[in-house]
Amino acid sequence: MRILLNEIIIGLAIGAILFIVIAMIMLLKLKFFEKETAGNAISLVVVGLFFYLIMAIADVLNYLSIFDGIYDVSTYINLELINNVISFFVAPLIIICFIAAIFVMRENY
Amino acid sequence: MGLNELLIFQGFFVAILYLILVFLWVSYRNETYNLKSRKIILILLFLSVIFVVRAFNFLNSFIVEKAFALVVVQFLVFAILVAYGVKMNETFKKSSKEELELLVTTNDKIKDGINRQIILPEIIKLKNIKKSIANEQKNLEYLKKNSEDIRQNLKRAETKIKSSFKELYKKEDEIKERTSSLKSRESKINDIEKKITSNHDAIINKDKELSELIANIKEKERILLDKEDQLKELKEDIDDSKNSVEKEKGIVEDRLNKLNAVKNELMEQHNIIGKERSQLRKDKEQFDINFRKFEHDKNMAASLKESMARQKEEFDARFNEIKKKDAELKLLDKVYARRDASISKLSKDIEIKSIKINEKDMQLKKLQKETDEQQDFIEDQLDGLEGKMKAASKEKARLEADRKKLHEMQENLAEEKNKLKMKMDKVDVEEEKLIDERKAMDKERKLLMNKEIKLEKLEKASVPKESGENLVK
Repeated sequence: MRILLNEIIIGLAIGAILFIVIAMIMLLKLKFFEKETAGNAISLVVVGLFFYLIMAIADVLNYLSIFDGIYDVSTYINLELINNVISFFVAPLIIICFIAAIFVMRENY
Repeated sequence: MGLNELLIFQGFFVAILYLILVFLWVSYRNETYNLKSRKIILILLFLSVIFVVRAFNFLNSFIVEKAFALVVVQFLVFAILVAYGVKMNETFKKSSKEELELLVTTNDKIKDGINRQIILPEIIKLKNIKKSIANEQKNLEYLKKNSEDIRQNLKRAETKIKSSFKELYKKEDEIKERTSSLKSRESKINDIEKKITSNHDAIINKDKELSELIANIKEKERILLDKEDQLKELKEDIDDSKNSVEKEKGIVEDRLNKLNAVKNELMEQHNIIGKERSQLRKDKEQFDINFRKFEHDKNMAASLKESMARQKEEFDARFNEIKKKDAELKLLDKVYARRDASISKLSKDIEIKSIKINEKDMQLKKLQKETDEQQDFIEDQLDGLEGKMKAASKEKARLEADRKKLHEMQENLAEEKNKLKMKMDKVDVEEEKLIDERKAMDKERKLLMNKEIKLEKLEKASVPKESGENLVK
């Protein structure tokens, strides 16, 4: 049961990563239907999603390391360092990108 | 403050920031900015849940459940985002199409005027442009066909050129190989010449050695002849050895004659090889000239790549020339092969002869050793005889010294004898004198005796006995 749960978690995480990539592509397509400033705001959101993609990939690696019995990734990659870097720099960058996008829209409309 | 505490603080800070973002977005919701895809960004704000859950990373006991919850929320948010994005994309496309159609299909006079005055000429222009494009496309197709034909021709020509170049390269390689083989043959011939010269030098050295040996043998003969004269007792042995040496000398002279004949043959072969070498050099020079010409022609061919027909003719002519050269080279190869075979035969003969010469040298050395041994034996004997002679001469000298001494002794003895004789004579004389004196003494004694007797008689007759004793005394 636990192994099945682990497999589901990792599968969902990989699916979410694929969805993030598709969402980035969709947003870039929708950018052309918007006005110039709204398009800039959407591009900022896409940059934030790119950072979120990095975070999601690091999360997948972390989930692989949590279930040591099945996947031993921590022997090959320094996951602690990656998690620290993400929680210190990448997560605030995502939020900053999104806030910047909202402020761009507020100034122009 | 530890690193984990900092991380927890950072997680909560990010969660609070995201909540502020949500608040900002919701507060601007009522503002009148026209954003078509604002619902997508609203969906993205559901990620605040994930950041809030991520803030509780320090709860290690619920790590699996937290991961599951995060992943599920993440998956759902992005799935809804993608689904809504696809839907929005389709609706936007449809709406944009409708808007464009509305621009064209309306009953307003102004729009009809716009359509007639602005859009129709542009459509006509576009049609003309389309026609021109179609014509250009046809022209392009025709040009493409022509270009394809030209390309095919070019490809054929290139393939022909490549094949001709390949053949040329092959022939170049063959020529290079042949030049290398010729060079190797030259080097081999040079080596053989060097070997021949070395053999010649060796033969000359051996001749010198043999002449020295003959001179030594002659000297030994002379010495032996001298020693023959000196040593008559060993004459028979020396005669035997002399006969054997003479036989060896005859054998050696025969061998020398043979060697001289071989040397003459080798010299003739050397001369023939020199002539062949000069011929080879001439051939090589001709070949180099031809090769340079061929390289010059090749360069010219590379530069005149565009003029195909001329090149082909030139190439054919060059091919014929090269074929002729190949034939010549083949003939040369055959000649070289024959010469190589003759040289190899000569080298083999030289080797055999050198082996024979070595064997003869060995025999000569053996003979020389034997003669040396005999000479040593004779010299030893001579030394022994000389020693004996010396001993005899010493004994003779001793004997002569003894003789001299004896002569001296004899002379001394004779002198002493003479002296003794003289002394004997003297003694005889003295004996005679003594005898005479004795006789005289006896006479005197007799006289005295007579006198005594007379006196005794007288005493007896007249004087007492005492007077007689005094007389005796």
